[in-house]
Amino acid sequence: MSLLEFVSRINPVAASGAVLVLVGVWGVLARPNLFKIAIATSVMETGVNLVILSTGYIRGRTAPILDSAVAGTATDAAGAAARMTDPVPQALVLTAIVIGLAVTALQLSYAVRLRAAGGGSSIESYGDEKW
Amino acid sequence: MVNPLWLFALSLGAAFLLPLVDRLGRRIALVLVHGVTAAWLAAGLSWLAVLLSGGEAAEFGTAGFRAPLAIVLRVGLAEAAGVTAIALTGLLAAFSLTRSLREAPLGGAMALLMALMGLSGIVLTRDLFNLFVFLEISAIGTYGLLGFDDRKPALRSAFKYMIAGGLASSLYLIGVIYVYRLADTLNLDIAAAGTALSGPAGTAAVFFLLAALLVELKPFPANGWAVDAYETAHPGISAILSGASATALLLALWKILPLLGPAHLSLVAGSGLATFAAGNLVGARQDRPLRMLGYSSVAQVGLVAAVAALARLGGLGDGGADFAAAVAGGLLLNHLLAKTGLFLLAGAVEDDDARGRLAPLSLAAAGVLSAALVGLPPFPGFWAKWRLVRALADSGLWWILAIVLGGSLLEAFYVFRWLGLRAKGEAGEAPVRLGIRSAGPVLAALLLAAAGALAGIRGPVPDLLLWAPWAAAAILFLLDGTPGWLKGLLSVAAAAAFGAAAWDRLDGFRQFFAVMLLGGGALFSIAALRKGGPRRGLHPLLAAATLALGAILVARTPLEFFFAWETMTAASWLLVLRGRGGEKPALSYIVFGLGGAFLLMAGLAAGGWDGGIAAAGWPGLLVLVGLLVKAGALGVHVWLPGSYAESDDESSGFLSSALSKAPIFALFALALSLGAALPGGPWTSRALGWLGLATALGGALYAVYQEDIKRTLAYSSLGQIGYILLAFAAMDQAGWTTSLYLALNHFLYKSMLFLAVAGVIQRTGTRNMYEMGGLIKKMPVSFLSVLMAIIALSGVPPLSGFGGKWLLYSTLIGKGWYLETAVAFFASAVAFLYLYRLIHSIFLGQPKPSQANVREAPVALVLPQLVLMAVLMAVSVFPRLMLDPILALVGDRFPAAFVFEGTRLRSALGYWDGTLTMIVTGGVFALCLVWMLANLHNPQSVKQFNIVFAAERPLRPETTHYAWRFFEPYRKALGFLTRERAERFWDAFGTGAASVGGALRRLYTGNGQTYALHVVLYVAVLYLLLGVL
Amino acid sequence: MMRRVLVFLAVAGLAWALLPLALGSGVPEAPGALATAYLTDAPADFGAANIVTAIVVSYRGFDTLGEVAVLFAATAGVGALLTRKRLGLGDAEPEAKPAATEILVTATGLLTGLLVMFGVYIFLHGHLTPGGGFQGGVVIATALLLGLLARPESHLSHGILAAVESLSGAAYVGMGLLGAFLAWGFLDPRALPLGRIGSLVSAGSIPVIYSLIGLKVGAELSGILDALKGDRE
Repeated sequence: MSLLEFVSRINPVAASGAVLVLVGVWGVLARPNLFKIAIATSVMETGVNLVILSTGYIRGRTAPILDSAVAGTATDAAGAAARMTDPVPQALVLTAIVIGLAVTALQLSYAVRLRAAGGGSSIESYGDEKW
Repeated sequence: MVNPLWLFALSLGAAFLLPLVDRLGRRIALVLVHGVTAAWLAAGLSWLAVLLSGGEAAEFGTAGFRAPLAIVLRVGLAEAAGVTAIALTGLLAAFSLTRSLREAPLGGAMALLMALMGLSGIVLTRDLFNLFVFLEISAIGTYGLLGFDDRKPALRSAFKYMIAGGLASSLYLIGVIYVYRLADTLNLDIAAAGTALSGPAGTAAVFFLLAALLVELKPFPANGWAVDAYETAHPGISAILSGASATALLLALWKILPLLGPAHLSLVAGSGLATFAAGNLVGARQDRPLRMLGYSSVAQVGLVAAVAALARLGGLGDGGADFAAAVAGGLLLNHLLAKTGLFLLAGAVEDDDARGRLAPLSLAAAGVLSAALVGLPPFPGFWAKWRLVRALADSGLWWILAIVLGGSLLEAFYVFRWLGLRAKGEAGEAPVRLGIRSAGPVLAALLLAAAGALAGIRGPVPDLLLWAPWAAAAILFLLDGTPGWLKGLLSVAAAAAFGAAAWDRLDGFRQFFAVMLLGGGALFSIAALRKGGPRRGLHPLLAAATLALGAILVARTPLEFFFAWETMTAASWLLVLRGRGGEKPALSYIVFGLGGAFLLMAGLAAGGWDGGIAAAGWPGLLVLVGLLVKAGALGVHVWLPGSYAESDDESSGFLSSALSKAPIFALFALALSLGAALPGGPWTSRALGWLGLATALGGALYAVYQEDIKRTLAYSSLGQIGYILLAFAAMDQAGWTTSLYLALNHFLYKSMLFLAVAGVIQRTGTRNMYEMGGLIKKMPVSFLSVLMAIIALSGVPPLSGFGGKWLLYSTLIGKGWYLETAVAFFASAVAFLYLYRLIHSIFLGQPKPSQANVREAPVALVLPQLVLMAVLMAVSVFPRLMLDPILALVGDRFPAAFVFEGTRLRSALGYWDGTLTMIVTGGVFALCLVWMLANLHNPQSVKQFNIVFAAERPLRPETTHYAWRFFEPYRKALGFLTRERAERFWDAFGTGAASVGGALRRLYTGNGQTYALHVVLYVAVLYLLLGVL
Repeated sequence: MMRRVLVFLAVAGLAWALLPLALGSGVPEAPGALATAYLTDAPADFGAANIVTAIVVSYRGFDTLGEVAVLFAATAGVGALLTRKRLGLGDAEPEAKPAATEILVTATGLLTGLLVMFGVYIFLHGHLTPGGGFQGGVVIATALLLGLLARPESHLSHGILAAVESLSGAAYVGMGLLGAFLAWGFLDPRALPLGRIGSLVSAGSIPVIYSLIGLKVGAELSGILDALKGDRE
C-alpha cells in the first residue's frame, strides 16, 4: 500500500480523536496542577468520544433521523435506511459524554475540596501515603 | 428466577427517592439503603438455590428485545454467586458504616447504593458497553464513598484513584468501539462466537478492553492509587473495594475471557503472577495494617486472575471450566470473606488507635480470618490451593508453583505477624473491645468456616474422623469459660475416644505412633490442670493439636494427610503463640512450619495417587525435605528453640515429646510406601544419616551453653531427634529398630523432664538455672523424675537409654559407618554435660533464700511423672516389652540383625541383656551405699551463707553464682562449633527478601501522577509484550 | 528529566498501540448488520423518527438509565464534598463577590426564559429531531448558570432542585416498570400508544422518558454548578 493510499484511507475524525487522546494523556502525566489534570482527563475523554463517533461515519450518508432528508414517505423504510449513517456509535457517545461530564464534575469538586483544605493545587503535595 | 431488572429498578428508585425519604429521618433512609442491599442478597441466594438444584441459567432482555438488539442480563451460577457475594460484603460493611453514614451528608448513602448496584450490574450484564456503564456507576459510587466521611487522607487518595479510573475508562471505550466496529455487535456471546476479532486489528481492540479491566484489577506496578485508597478510606469502604469490587471486576475479566486469544491470556497470567509475587514482597515490608492488607488484596486478586487465565489457556487442570471455577472461585470466595472481615477488624482497631490485645471474640475472628487468608485448612482457600498446586505439578509448571507457594509463605509471614501483634498487644494497654463493629468480622469468619467445612466434607475429605480436631476445638472454645478440669477431662476423653474409633483402621506402625501421639496429648492435657482457672485457649488448642496428630495417622489420601498435617501445624502454632513471650517464636514457628508444609504439599501433589504418601524421585525428595524442616534438622532448626522455650510449659512438653514424632512417623510412612527405601536411593540415606548426626551433635553443643532450662531441653530434643534420624537413615533392621526404640524412649524421658521442669518453673518463677538450686529436698519426686530421665537420656546403665545407645552403636558399626559412630559417641559425651547440669544446678547445691517456701509440684504434674517412671522402670528391666513389638513392626523387610535369645538381644557384635544390666547395676549401687553408710562418720550439712566472700562486690551478682556460665571453659574449646550459622543464614535470607520488597515499594511514591504514569507505562509494556507473544 | 523521558515513553507507547487502530480502520462503506437492523426496524418498532433516540431510550435504554444513575451519583458526591462546613467556611460571612457586569445582567434577563424554553423544546422533540433529554437538560442548566453568574450572591433552591431530581428520576423508573407491565419488558416504550411517526405525540413513552430525563439532568447539573460555587449549606 503506498503512502498516498494509506493517507487517503485515514479517517480524519478518528485521527484527530486519537491525537486528542494523546494530548490528554500527556496532560494527565505531565501537568501537576489538580485542575489541569481534571481538564486533561476531560480532553482525553473528548478525544475518545471523537474516536467513537468516527466509527459511525459513512461517506455520503446523513443523520439517522427519518425525516424528509432521507425519505420522501415514511413507508420507504429500506430505502431510507440506505441513506443513513450508523446510529449505534452516536447512541453510545451520548452516554459516554454524560458519564465523562459526571466524572469531570466530581474530580473538579475533589480538587476544590483539596485546595480548600489548604494543601495547594499541585498533586505533588498530596503524597503522604506511600511505600 | 427473579428478574434482576426488578432489583435495578428497586435500587434506582430507592436512590432517586432517597433525598425525599431522608427528610423523614436519616435512620429511615439508611433502613431503605440496607433493605435494598438485603433484597439483592435475597435475590442472589434465590438464584443460587434455583441453579444449584439443577435450574438452567437464564437471560433477561430489556425493552422487550433480546441480543443483539437490546442489552441482555444473564443469571448463571457465577453471576448468582457474584451478586450474593457483593451484597453480602455490602451488608457486612454496613455494620461498620452505619454510624458514619448517619453523620455524613446523604451523598454517602446514595454513593453506597450506587456502588453496590453498579458492581452487581458488572456481574450481570452481557453487553460490553453496558459493562462500561456499570463500571462507571460503581467507579463514581466508589469515588463518592472514598470521600464521604471527610477523612483528609482519603480525599487525597480519592483524587489519585480518579486519575487512574479515568485512564482505564478511556482505554475501555476505545476497546469497546473497535470491537463493535469489527464484530458488529456489543453482545459478548455473539462477539465471542464470531471470528471477526481474531485478526491483528481485533487483537488490538480486545487488548484495549483487556488493558482497562487489568488496570481496574490493580496490577503491579500500576496499583499505587488503589493501595493508597485501601489504606486511607473508611474500613467499611476498603472492605467493599477489596471484597465486592474485586469480585465484580474479576467476574468481568472472567466474562471477556472468551474474547481473548492465547497472547492475551498469557499477558493476564504473567501480570497476575507478577502482581501476586510483588504484592506479597512489598506487603512483607509493611507495618501499617491497612496498607498491608491492601498489598495483600492486590496480590490475591492477581493470583485469581492468573489462575483463570492459565486454566483458559488449557495448560492447567483437567482443562475444563469446572477446574477454573472451582479454583478461582474458591480462592476468590476465600479472599472476599477474609479480606472483608480483616479490613473491618483492622480498620476498627486503627480507627480507635488501639494498641492493646484484642478481646477474645474479636481475636478468634481475627485468627480465623488470617488463617483463611493464608490458606490453612479447613477454609475454602485451602481446598482451592490444593487443587491448584496439584494441577500446576501435573502440568510441570514448577516455576509457577514456586511463585504461588513462595508468595503464600510471605503472606503468611506478614498476616500472622499482624495477628501476633493483635493477640499480644503492647504491654500495659487495655484489651481492645470493638462492640458491634466486631459483628461483621465474626460473621465473615463463621461463613468462612461453614463454607470450608462444607466444601471439605462434601468434597475430598468426607471422613468425619479427620474433622475431629476442628470439632473438638470448636466445642472446647464454646466451653472456654468453664473450669479447667472439665475441659481437661473432655480433652483426655476426646483423645481416648479418637484412639478407640481409629484403632481398627490403623496398621501396626500407626498404632505404635498413636500411643505416643494421642497418649502424649492426653498426658499433657492432664498436666495442664496444674494451674487453676479456665486457662482460656489452652485446652481447645491442645485437644485440637492432639486429635490432628491422630488424624495424620488416620489419613488415607495425600490430601487427607496434608489436611491433617496443616491442622496440626496451625493448632500447634497457636499453642506457641499463647505462651507469654510467644509472639516472635510463634512467627518463626509458623513460617518454617508452613514452609515445610508447602514443600510437602508440592511433593505430595506431584507424587503418586494410590493412597498413602507414595512419592519417588524429586517429589519424594521434596516431601523428605519438608518433613525434615518440621523435624527441625540442623540448618532448618532455627524455629525450634524459641518455640519450645516460650510456649506454655505443658505445650513445650507436648511439642517436644509428642508432636516431634509426627515428622518421624511421616518419614517411616514415606519410606514404607517406597518399599522401605528413601527417594533418591542410597545417597539420600547417607546424607540423611550425616544430617541426623550433625543435628545430634549441634543440639547437644547448643544445649550445653544455655542458661534457660527450657532452651536446654529444646536443644536436647533437637539432638535426640538427630539420633532418631541417624538410625532411621541406616535403612536396615537394626537401624529401624533403633530408631523406633529411640523415639519411644525419647517420648518417655522427655515427657518426664518437661513435666518436672514445668513444676520447677511454676514453683520458682524463673527459667534460669543459675537462679535455682538445692531443690532436692523440696521437690523430691521431681528430682527423682529428672534423675531417671537423664540417666535414660544419657545412655548410662541401667535404664533403657543404655539399650538405645547399644542398639545405635551396633547399628552404625554393623553398617560400617565408623566415622559416624565416633561422632555419635562424641555427641553423647557432650550431651552428658548439659544433663549433669540439670541435676547439679537445679536440685543440688545451695537453696536460694527466696525459694525457701517452694513446695513439691502440683498433683497434675507429679502423678503423670510417677506413671512414666514406672513405665520407664518396667521397660528398662524387661526390654522385650518394648522391643518385641518394635521388632515385629520392622518385620522381615530387612535381613535380621537383632535376635532375642531369652532376655538377651544378640547382634553380630555381641549381646545386651537389660534385666542383667539392671541387676548388676543395682548390686553395685547397693554395695556402694552400704560401704558409705558404714564408713561415713559425722557428716556436716553446709548452711546457705557458709562461704567466704572476697572484699569486693560484683556489678552483677548473678555472675558470682557457680552455675552462671557453667560450661564457659568448654565454650572456649568448642564454641566455634556453636556459632549460630543457621540463624544468620536465615536472617540474611529474610533481609534479602525484605530488601527486594523495599526496592519494589519505592515505586509507590505517593504521587498520583506517578501512579498514572505507572498505569500508562504498564499498558504500553503490555502492548509491546503482546506484539512479542 | 528521568520523569520526562518516562512520560514521553509512556505517551509514545500508547500512541504505538492506539494510532494503528485509529488510523488503520478507515471509513466503512456501509453499516453493519446490527446498525442496518436498527435503521430498518426502529421506526416500525417504536414509531420514533430519530433512530438514535430509539436506541438510546429503548433498545439500549438500560444504558441510559445507568447513565442517569452516574450523573445522579456524581451530583450526590459533589453535594457531599462541597458543603460550607467541609470547605472550612463554617458560619463565616461569605466574602463579597464582585458584581456582574451590566451586559451580563441584562443579557441574562433576556436569555433565561428563552434558554429554558429552548431546552424544553429540545427534550420534547428528542424523538423527532437531533437532541433529547440530556441536551435539553444541559441547555436548561445553562440558563440557571447565567443566573448564578449575573447574581453571584443568589442561590438556587436546593429543595426544589432535589425534589425535581428525585421525582423525575423515580418517574423514569416508573415508566420503565410500566413498560414491563403493559408492554414486553422493562423500559419498553410501547407501554403507551406509538402514534403516527413524525408527530409530536408519538413513539410511545419515549418523549415522556426524555422529558423526565431533561428535567432530571437540568436539575442535577444546576445542582452541581451551585455546589461548585462552594457556599452551599
